[in-house]
Amino acid sequence: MAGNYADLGLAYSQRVRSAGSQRDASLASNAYGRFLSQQRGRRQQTDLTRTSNNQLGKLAASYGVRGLRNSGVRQRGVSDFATGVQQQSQDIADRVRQEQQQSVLDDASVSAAYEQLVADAELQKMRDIYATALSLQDYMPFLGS
Amino acid sequence: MLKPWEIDRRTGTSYKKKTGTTNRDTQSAALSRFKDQVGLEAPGIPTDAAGMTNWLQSIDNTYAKQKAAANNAQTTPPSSGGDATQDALAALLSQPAAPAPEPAPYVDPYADARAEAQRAAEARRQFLQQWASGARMTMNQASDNAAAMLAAQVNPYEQIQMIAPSIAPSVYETYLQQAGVSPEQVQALISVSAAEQAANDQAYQNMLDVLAGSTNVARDSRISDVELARALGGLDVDNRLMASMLGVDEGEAAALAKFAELTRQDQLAADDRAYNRGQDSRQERLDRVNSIVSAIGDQLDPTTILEMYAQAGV
Repeated sequence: MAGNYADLGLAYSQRVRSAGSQRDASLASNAYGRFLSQQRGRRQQTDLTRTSNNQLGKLAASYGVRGLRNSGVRQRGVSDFATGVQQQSQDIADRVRQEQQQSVLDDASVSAAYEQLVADAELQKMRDIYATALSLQDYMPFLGS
Repeated sequence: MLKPWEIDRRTGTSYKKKTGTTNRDTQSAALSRFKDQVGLEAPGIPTDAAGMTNWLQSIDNTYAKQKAAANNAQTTPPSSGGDATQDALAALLSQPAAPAPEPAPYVDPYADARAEAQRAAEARRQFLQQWASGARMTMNQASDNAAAMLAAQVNPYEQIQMIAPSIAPSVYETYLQQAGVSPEQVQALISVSAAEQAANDQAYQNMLDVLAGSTNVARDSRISDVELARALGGLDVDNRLMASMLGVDEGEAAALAKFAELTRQDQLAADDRAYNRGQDSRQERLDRVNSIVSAIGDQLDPTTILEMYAQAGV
């Protein structure tokens, strides 16, 4: 306790630097994860749009071939198809959004952990200063006057 | 009646009887002894043989006069001039009664050391007070810094903004309408999707609230730790200061007690020396009177002898 009074600042800075490095690495990793999630969502949305448009054209044509161009059957079939496509698109959007929220939460958790480490380092520095002041007081009987 | 110088003091017998010498010869022998006993510095006592003969003759005359005066029951005041023995006695009797030797004012040789011990103890007390004050200031400063840092910390969970939906409902609505889905069905789908979004957002917000509250509690707890450490640290400083002060007090008391004992011993030694000086002085005066009485006591009246002894402090 009394031996580390000379490196108070070094010990504190070391702890803060280490916590900062861990925080920055985690934030960078999260940011990259968000980018991948958005990219993946856009691609899935693009694929869904392209395939659904193709399938929707084929579906409408098939009802025409069978003489059901304006029938209620065709209307129900196209409506169900469009609803299914919309639900898939919604699922993709929700998944991307939830991943974004989770990533933001991870950022907050990383920042909170960093803040707590810094706070603990500050408290430790305070305690080290206390110990140093008190240990110097212990030396008083030997200093004379 | 034999004169003092006619008596051998060692045997108590007369020189005249033992040696058959003349009265004047025995007087010379007695004179020698008298000179040895009284000392040549005695006032009125001659140092040469002729003077001594005259001086002894004057003693004889004085003795005769005192004898006559005693026989006539009259007292004759001592003459002030012409007779050496009378002058010596007058000088001796005129001296005031020997006062007790006045003791010199006592000077404590340890006074400076005592003052220095007290000064050093006081300086040490001030030093300890300053040091403790410095320790308190340092600890308070460290506590203030920590408390300010903790109070200024941002709660990351409170900074999170809800993410807007990536696909607006109007997009679905347009798509579904183009596909021929009825407006009622479109609205039903949009409502279900919005409800899911709202439920998800509420759950997310609840989680954020819990995490933010936990973080705030941790921060408040740390601030409490700081204040607790400040209070305990101040108490620790006070306790250590008190212990150090007690040590200084004890050291000072021990030093003063030591010097007091040394002073007491020194005072006793000074008293002994003064007493011995008084004893020596009185013994010296007594010796002189004894010498005179043994030499010429039979020529003096008892009152004079008593006065001489009284002056000698007997």
